[in-house]
Amino acid sequence: MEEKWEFYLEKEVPENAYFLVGLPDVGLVGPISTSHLVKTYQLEELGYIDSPLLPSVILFHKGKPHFPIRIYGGYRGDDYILVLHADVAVPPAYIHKLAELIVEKGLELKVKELVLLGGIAVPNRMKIEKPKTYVASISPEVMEEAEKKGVEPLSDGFVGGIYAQILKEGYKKGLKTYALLSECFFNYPDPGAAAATLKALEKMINHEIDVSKLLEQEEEIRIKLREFMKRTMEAMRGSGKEYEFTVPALYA
Amino acid sequence: MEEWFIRYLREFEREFRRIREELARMEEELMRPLYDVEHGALEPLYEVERRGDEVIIRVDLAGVKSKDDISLSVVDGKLVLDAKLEKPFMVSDITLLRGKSFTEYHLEIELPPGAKEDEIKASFRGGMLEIRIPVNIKRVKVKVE
Repeated sequence: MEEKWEFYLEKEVPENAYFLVGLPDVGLVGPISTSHLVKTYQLEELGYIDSPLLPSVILFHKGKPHFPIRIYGGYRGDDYILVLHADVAVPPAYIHKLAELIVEKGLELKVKELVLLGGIAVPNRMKIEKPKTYVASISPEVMEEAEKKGVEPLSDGFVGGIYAQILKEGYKKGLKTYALLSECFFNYPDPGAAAATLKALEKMINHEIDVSKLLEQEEEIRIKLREFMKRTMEAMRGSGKEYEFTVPALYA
Repeated sequence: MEEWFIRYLREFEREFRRIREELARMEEELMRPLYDVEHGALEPLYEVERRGDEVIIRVDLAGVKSKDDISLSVVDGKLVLDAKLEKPFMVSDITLLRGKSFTEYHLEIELPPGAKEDEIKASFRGGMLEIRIPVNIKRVKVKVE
């Protein structure tokens, strides 16, 4: 099948936007975070990403059809917030192409920074009341900047999956890119971890994000997203995510 | 035809059938939705971990408030779990499920071989049920030369 990818925007996006990405992964932390941001910041739907390589799905919400990977945008104070939200998992074979597309589009739109919102699975999540959030970036300057803003750098271990690929692409092409990853469940939807990721984002972009509703609806979200989590786990096989519990040979 | 060859063919056929059935079961498992509309039951997400002499099953029971709302038993080599939701769960975002009400979780899992049924323990915290199943393991000491 032809590897054709389309990034369509029906409106112009101002330069210097924060480009926030929420793709399905462990604990569905990314999409839960971006979904909450879209609602809280009342962002407008601007376009979509599509490809024949993605699952053939259309979503209907309140009678209106939507692409499964959508772009939203809107102002928060003087800053423009651009959000990429996905309701389908990306098959591992197409991670590279999508990562390339997201970074290229970020450069073309002259975004200020590309921020990946997600989770990092920990085996003892059940016992953690307040999940920690780590920043991961290939650029040491970005890690230092985040640390100064109060977000702990991820010092050891692997980051796997599509976010690893976007971090690499962003670094190679000179786009400021980092991931905010909160401790989360591996295969259960984790709104608590999404709230932690959003609070770290708040420190990074200096805009308040109210997560109270997200925490209030935690149980309901966990029930609702069971099916999406199951599909995501299936799609994630072979994505590189399995490396996150691996000790790199470098440290052995 | 030689007898050994016929035996070999039959064994091959049996194994082939077993793999085909296993694949069909996996496919069915994948495609099956986690909603049992007829019984108003949800299937919870769960994971299984093998750790030494134990098999640990963790089940996400979001929406269940107390351990008193959980019933866990072993029936014919299967672990059967029923848990009542604190309030009925209605799916308003999917037209086909609109108006349907789900009041409980239901899950059945085959016990692992060698499971010590009388020694199974479970604990419930933060909407997560952890079931610990001790298993008999046959150990043979191998001499290293």
